[in-house]
Amino acid sequence: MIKKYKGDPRQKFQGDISFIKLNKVEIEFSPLPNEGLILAEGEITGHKHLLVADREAKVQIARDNEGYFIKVLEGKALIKHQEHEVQILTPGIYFSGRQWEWNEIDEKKVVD
Amino acid sequence: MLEKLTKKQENLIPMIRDKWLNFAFGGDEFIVEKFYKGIDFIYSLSNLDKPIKVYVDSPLGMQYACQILKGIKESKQVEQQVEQQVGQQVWQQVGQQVGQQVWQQVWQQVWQQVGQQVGRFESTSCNGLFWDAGWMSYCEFFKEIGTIKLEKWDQYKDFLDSGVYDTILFDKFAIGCRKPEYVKRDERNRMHSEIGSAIKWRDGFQLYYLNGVYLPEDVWNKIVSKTIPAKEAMTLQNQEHRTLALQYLGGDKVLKELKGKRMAKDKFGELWDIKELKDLNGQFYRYFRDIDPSKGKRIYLRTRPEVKTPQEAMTLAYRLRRWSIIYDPSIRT
Repeated sequence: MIKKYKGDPRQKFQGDISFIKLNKVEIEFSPLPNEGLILAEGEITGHKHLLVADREAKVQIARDNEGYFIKVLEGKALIKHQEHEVQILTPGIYFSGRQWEWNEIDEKKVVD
Repeated sequence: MLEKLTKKQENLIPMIRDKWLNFAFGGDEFIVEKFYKGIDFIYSLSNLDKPIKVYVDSPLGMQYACQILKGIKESKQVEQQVEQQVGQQVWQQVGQQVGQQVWQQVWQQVWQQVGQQVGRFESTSCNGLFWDAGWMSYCEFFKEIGTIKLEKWDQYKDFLDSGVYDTILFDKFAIGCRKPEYVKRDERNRMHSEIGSAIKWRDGFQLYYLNGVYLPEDVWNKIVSKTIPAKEAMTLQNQEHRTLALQYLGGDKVLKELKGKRMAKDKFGELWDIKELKDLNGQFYRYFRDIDPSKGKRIYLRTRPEVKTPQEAMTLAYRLRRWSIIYDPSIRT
């Protein structure tokens, strides 16, 4: 099921994964492997958020400590998941990060 | 130099992998003659005399056997591809996910039951199926396709074919144990069972796991039967145990039992407080609650006690301040 809001068109979410459209980012990209890339894997279920290029789409990726950067040059990038509807990314640069749960032990590590 | 695998060679990879996995997880048959012969072979490699050989039914049994034998003694005196697909997978499933975890529990239990009264816990010699299956399967592939010749490999393979799970080797005597009777795993190959122990040996030694996390039997039982009181679940010392307990109990039950109160609501979800319970810093628990649009189930996410709105909780959870934005999705799936 998809839940649509009249919100910020730059913000999309698939379960506990975000896709934030950015204007630009200073990072070196490399081509997305043919088999795609697992952006995140469910801790309990093992279900995967899998990034793949749709047909002849040109997609590049980069990574930092917080998550992945996805650059869609041509066509569409798809994010597939066993339980969630497919997310579609059109040309642009996106940041994809995980949801973090706060707890008192890791409080100092979490810097937002 | 082998540059690329043929289709036939590629097809051999899953065959060898599955053969080893099926053998490791396929019951507790133990061939004593092969075990004896294998031990003598291992000792001959170090120019040692043939030892006294003993076999028992579990890793815990090996530790007890050590204590008994010590007592007697005292009284008398395409390399990466193949490596990833065969060796690593077998090692991960057999060695890391079962062997090492079991070893840790045996160590803890023996230390509690035997070590403190009797003496030293004996380290494994790491000769046995659950230590060696990974690299042996990896070598077997190259042996099968004829790129390497391993003179003594067959003899060691014969030793593992006995069904020996692990060994403890001393100068004069060697102790081995058979494979487990069963190993139950989830779809990610982690040890897991909600109806009983996840791994059990013939002598009754068994261990309980959920999602690859070891639990003492009483805690496991209270979690899978959902009889653990919410307060006890929330205060379990081990964080992994706490997460599992809350997952099995369900957030709604925890909120009801602990008199949770809704403190805020917006179009993105709700904030609920549990003030009856304090965390390690003496603060109450505040949770974000919403419905997962794909699963139709309630989701709970702990957030900072000072958070005022569900929107702020989600802004923090996705670390959106990095991009100078607040949580305001256009689409959620």
